[in-house]
Amino acid sequence: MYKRHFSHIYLETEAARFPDARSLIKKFSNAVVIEIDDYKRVFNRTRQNFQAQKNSMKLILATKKDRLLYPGSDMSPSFGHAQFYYNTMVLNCIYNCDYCYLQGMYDSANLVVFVNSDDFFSAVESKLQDHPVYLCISYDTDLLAFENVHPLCARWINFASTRPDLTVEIRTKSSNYKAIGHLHAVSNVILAWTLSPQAVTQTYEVQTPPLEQRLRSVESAIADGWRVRLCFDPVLAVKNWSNVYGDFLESLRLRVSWDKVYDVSVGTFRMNGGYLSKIKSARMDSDILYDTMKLEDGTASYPAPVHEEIMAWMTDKLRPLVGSERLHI
Amino acid sequence: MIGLVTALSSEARPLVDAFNLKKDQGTRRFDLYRSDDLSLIVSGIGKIKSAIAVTILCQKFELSNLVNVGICGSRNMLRPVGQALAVHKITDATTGRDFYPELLTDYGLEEGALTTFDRVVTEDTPLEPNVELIDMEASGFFEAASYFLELDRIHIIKVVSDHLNVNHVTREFVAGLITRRVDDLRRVLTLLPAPKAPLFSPDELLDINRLVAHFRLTSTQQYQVLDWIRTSKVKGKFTVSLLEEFARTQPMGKSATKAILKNLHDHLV
Ligand code: SF4
Repeated sequence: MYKRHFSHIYLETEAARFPDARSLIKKFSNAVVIEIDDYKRVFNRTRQNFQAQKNSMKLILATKKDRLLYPGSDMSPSFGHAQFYYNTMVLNCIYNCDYCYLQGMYDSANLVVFVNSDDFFSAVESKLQDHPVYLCISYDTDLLAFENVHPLCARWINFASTRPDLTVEIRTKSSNYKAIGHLHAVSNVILAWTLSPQAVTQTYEVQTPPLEQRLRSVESAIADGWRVRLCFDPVLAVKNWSNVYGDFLESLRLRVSWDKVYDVSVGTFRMNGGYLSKIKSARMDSDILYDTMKLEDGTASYPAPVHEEIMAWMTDKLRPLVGSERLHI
Repeated sequence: MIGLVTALSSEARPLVDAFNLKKDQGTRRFDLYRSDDLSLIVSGIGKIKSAIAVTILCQKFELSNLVNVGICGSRNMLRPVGQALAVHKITDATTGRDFYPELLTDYGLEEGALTTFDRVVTEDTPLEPNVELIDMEASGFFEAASYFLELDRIHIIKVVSDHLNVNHVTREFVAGLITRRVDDLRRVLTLLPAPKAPLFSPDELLDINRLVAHFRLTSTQQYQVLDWIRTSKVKGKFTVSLLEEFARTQPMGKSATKAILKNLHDHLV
């Protein structure tokens, strides 16, 4: 009954001249194209219903003129890199995880694609003149999940392949490794898969591929020589969490070639407190948003005893598999 | 309840008949009709009147959706007279502001962009090249409606009445156009988003209010308790009997209230 995703494309007048805009419009040739002056007038409208829009996401093609590179946020692990940056060539995600902060950060669930991609590459190029750069490109989105529509991961991989001072992290919950599987592994690109127990994935990571499919992607990437990071983040304090995550880690213990995993990161649920309040006022269908949280420096997270217990427990389980050096907590 | 807004009585009449609406005596300046789940207000011509009509309807009823139904002109000759359309963009010709109705559901209708003018547009009126569909209400309707409802609950359905030659557009003609689109509209109404289900039943709300009043809580405490109750309900733990048990205790003094609140917190969250 819902219109299919990307049934409508909002096209910023300025964006129309870019080849990316033309190829995306061609890809969705049945879409209704609606001309707009400025993407913010569509994307930032008040009184949009984020969860309703998730049933029929629209595409907004726009240009981004400033802030093409952001310094990393405190809420994301920097993996020991001092020059930690991220960029946002796409806003929003085709998935719909219950715990996703994008629901609180944006008024809209529609996907914005900034089609002036060369400007993003130039911004990184110029930063590389000053110092090495560690760059997360799949930040407010899941780029690999979107690769069949818009092959940005492949472009960044090619870009990184000739710039040894650049390290690129592509974080994903997709099982879409095949979309970049034709490329040679590049040593300064890290493919980072977020993994959760299947029960958690099924309940709280809506629309994402099942654990098994993600694992197959992980295995293929490792076999092809990529640096693969496994992210257990966020670990959720679901009912009987230690059993749920215990079974999960046990199955991974036997399945994953741990010696070939580049590194592992672990974190528990956390989110900007304002975003969480906004999400809670809009939806009452997800129990994990209603767990007891502490609010500290504007960040909502599990109370210290819960957080510490989970982290200690996860560390205990993971350290024997990857050692302390490769474990980021 | 769903709210319909038309500009003209000739647009309203076929809908009143088709949906079996009865005249409501509630307003002086606007004709209002209703059944148990549908209300219809006749705004008169123009965006200000449409906005006022929306406001009246929203203040009178708890609406799940608002639908503007009416005729429009089309500059595009390829759009046949009688075609029903869902509007995906409204431009206010006077202010230049654009509005973007959501089209999440497939209503099985063609779509178009509409420009709202403050005066009648004819073949002789100079127009910007991008003007295609033309009416006199939609921008006012949409802007007012978005004060009351989320955007996915605001809909504009237009029927092409002319190609900017309005001589033949009589009341009977308009009524005929709308009559022929009643089935489309009936289908659209069945596809609109359902009313939001309240978290608590009316009985639960009564009990909650009784408990909160019983303990004579400060407004901060009240806020806290209501938040715990909401959390408990979302997590599927909440029962009215739990509250009743607490309501049996009579707190004597501040520290007793605090102890009871702590106990209540532990039970709820
Ligand atoms: S995959 Fe990441 S960005 Fe996408 S919805 Fe889930 S948490 Fe949000």
